[in-house]
Amino acid sequence: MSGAQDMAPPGPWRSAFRALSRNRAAMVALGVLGLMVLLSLLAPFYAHHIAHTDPFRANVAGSFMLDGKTIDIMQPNDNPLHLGLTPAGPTWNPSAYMLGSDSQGRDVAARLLYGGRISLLISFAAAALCIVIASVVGILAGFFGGIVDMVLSRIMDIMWAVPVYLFAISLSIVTISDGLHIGPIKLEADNLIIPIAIIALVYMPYAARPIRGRVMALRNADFVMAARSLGVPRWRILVVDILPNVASSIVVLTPLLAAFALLTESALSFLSIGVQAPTASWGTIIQDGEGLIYSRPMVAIAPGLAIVIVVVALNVLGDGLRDALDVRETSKRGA
Amino acid sequence: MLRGFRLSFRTPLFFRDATGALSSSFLLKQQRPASDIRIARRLTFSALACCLVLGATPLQAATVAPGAPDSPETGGILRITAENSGGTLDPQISYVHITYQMEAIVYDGLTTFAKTPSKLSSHAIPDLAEALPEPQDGGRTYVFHLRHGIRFSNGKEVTPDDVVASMQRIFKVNSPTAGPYYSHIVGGEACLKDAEHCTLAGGVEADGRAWTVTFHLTHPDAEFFDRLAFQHASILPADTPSHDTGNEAPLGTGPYKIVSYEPNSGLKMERNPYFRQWDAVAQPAGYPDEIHYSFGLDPEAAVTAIENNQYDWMLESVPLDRQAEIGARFSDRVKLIDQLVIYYAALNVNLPPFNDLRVRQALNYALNRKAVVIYNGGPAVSTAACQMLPTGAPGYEPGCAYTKGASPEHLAPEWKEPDLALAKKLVEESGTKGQKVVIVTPGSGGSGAIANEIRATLVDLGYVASVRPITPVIEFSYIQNSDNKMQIGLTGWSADYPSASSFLRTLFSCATFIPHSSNSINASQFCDPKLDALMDRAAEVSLTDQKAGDALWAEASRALMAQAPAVPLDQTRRVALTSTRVHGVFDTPIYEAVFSQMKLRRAGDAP
Repeated sequence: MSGAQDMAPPGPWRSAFRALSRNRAAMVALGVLGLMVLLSLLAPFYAHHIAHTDPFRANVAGSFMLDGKTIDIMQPNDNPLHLGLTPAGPTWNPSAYMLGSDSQGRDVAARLLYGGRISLLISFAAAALCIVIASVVGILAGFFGGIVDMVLSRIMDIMWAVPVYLFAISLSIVTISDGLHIGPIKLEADNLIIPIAIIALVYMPYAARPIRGRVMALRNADFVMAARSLGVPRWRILVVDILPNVASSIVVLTPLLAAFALLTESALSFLSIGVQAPTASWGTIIQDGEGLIYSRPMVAIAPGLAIVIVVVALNVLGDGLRDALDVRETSKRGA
Repeated sequence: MLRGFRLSFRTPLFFRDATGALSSSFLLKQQRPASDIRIARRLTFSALACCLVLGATPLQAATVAPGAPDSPETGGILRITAENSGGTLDPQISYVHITYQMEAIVYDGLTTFAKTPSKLSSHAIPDLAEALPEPQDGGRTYVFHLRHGIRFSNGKEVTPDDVVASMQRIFKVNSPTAGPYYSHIVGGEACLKDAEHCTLAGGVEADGRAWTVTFHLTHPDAEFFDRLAFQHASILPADTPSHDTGNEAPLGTGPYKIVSYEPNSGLKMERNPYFRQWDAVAQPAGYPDEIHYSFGLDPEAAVTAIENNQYDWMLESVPLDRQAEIGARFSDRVKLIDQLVIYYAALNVNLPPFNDLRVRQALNYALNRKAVVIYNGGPAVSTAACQMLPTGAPGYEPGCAYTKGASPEHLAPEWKEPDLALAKKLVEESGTKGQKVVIVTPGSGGSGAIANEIRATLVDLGYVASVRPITPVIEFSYIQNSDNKMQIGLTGWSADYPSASSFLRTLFSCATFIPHSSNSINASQFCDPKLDALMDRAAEVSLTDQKAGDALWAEASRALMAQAPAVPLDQTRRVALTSTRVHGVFDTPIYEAVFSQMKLRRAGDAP
C-alpha cells in the first residue's frame, strides 16, 4: 500500500515546486528578493546600531567622524564664490554615511533601507489586493457571463482605455490634499493604504482579463459540465472546480503585478503624489536626489538600482513560476 | 514689504529678438518719428565729418540716440526674463518688486534713491526737486522747488500741478501705502475716508509762478523724503485717469517708456525721446536702446537660457540647486547683491504657548541658525540673523541675545550655536511642555525645510509640532489675520526704503496690529507701549540728529528682541547671473539692479 503511494505521481503544486526549485534563475531571483526584504527589515537595526543616525530628521548643520576626522555633512563648494553647498558623498563605511547624505543631511543608506520597507510593502500589498479584486471580477465575469460579464467587462474596458500612469496620477492628485473620505472610511493623505488601493485599482483590468478568459474556457470544460449536470451548486463549482484551475494563472500574475506596482509607486512618489514625507520610499529618495544628480548621483542611483534589482527579480521569478505551473511544460517533464 | 510675484499663466511666448547691437540701432531708427530720423541723419553726417577729421570710428557716434549717454557702450537691446509679470503697471498701485525694478527707469518722484553704486543705508536724494528742502514749522512744512524743463514722454513739461495731482491720485486709486506713508499730509485722513473727492486741501499746494510745491504735514516725519522716493509717489501727468491703469503704463519722465505690455508674454521699453539727463545719480541716462522683458520662463530654465546668452538677466534669484554650477562655471558672470531683507518666524504673543516670554526666548535659543543658513544657500549668500534689523539698515548694531553664552542683557557679537539646555530649562519653567504647535509656512521654496527644522526643534523642546504649508500667495495674508489663530508663521520682509522704522515700527508697533484683518502686518500681534514710545522718540530725534536717532533705533531693536516676538532667521543676498554681453552691474540699496546702467558688449568686443 505504502509502495503504491510512493509510486503515485506528485500533485500539481508539488510538481510545480520541484520544477521551480530546479530553475536556477528563479531560485536566484527568489534569493535576491528575500535578501532585499531581509535588508529592509533590518533598517532600524542599521540606522540605530551601525550608522547611529535618524534617517527621518534633517541634519544639515551636523557632522560625522571618519578616520578620526570630523566631516561636515554639508560641505562648501570650492568655486571662487563658494556658491552652493554639496552634501557629503559616499564614504563606503557602513558606520559613517556609507552612501553619503541627501540635501537635508540625512543618511542615504539608512533611508534606502527604510525606503525599501515601504516600497516593498506597497508593491506586495498592492499586488495582493489587485489579484484578489481581479480574481473576483474575472471569475464572476467569466463564469456567469451574460449581463454580469457585460457590465464588468465594460467597466474594465473603460479603465483599460485610460493610460495606467495617467489614471494613477489622476487618482493620486485627487486624494493627495484631503485624503480619502468614503462614508465612514476616512484615510489621511499620508496613509499608505491610499497608494496601495490606487495601484491595485489601476492594474486590476490587466489581471482580471486573463483570469476571465481562463474561466470562460473552464466554464465549458467537461468536468464543469458534468458537475452542473449533477446539480452541484454554482458556488461549489466555483470553489472546487474553477478556482483551483485558475490558481496557477493567479500565482504567475502576482510577481509581475508586484513589479508593476513597485514601478508605479516609485513614479508616484517621485512626483510627490505617492508616499508623503517624512516617510521614505525608493521613489521619494530618487526625488531627493534629483537636484543632486550631478554632484551626488548616488542619492538617486542607489534607490534606482534597488528598484531595478527587485523588478528584474520579480520578473524572473514570474517567468519561473509560469514555467513551473505550465501544464504543457509539466507534461513534457512528466514524459 | 516682502514683495511677491503675482501668479500668471505661463505662456511660452517670448520676444525672439536676438539682433546684435548694430541691427538693434537700425531697428530703433525704423521706429523713431520722422523728425528724430532727420535729426539722427544730421547727427550722423556731422559725426562722420568729425570722425574723418579726428580719425575716430564713425559708427559709434552715429548710433547715439537723443538723451542717451555719448559713449561707445550705448546701444543694443537688453533682454530680461522673468517667470511672471508683476501685474498692473500703475506705479502708484503696483506693490511687487519686479514692477518697482522695471519702473525705476520710467518714473521719477520729487525724490529718489541713487541709481549709482551706493550703500544699503543710503537715504533719498532730490530727483524732480532741485534739492531736499529744509524743514520748516518744526518739520511740518517742506517747500520743494521743481526742476524746469523736465518732460513726460509725450513732450509735456512737468508742472507743480502734476505733483499735486499725483499726490491726490495716491489716495484716489487707493494706493496700498496711502494710509501708512502719506496720510500724515494735511487732508490725508479725509482723503482716506473719501478718496473720490480727495483734494489734500491745505496739505499739498502748487505755486506755478514760483515753480514750487509745498507740503504740510500733521506731524514731523524723519522719513518723509524716503517716502516721497517710493514708487507710489511717482509724478504722473495731472490728467492720468484716477483708476488702476492696468496694462497701460501712465506717462513718465525717466529715460525709458513702456511701449507694449502683455502680462502673459512680455514687455518692451524704448527710449523716452524727451528725456534729457538732469542728474547723473538720481536718474542717469540709459545705455541700452531698448529693454525687452519676457515672461513665462521658470528660474531653472532662465539660468540655462542666460548661460547660453539667450537672455542677459533674470529677475528672480538663481535657484539654490544651480548656484554651485554657476559658481564653478560662470563665476565671472555672477553678481551677489546685498538686500535689506530679513526672514523670520513670527510668534503669536497672544496664543499659547508663545504668550509666555520664556517659550519665545526658548525657541530663539534653541533654533540652529546654521541649518537655516545652509537651507538658504550657505554662508556665501545667507547670514544668520539675531535681530529684526538686517545688517546694513540704519540703526543696525551687531549683537545677538539668543546664542550660547548670551542673553538679552549681555549680547554676543554674533550667533555662534544654539543653547538647547537653556531652552529646555525655560520651557520646563513655563509648564507648556506637551502643547500642540502648528507652524504655518509658504508651501514652496526653501521655507518648507526651515519649517521642518523649527518643527524638529520644537519636538526637542517637548512640544507636539506639525507643519502646515499654505500656498505662498495666501500665506502672507493668512498669518496676519488673528482669526486664523496662527501660532508660528514663516515670512520675510524687505524694506520699501532704507530705515529702521520700516522694520521695527511697521512689524511690531501697536498701530500695525489690526485684529480680524488680513492686512495686519504685525503678524506677531505684539504691542508694547513702552517700545512704541522709544520708537517714537527715535523717529523724532532722527529728524535733527541721524546718528543719535540711529542709536535709539538700535536700542529699540535690542528692547524688541528682549521681548522675542519673533525668531529672526537669516538675511540673504540675491544671486544674479548675467550673459557675457552685460557689464557694469552694480549694487543699489532698493532697486538691486538698475537696468538703464547695464552696458552691452557688441559682437567682437573683448569680454
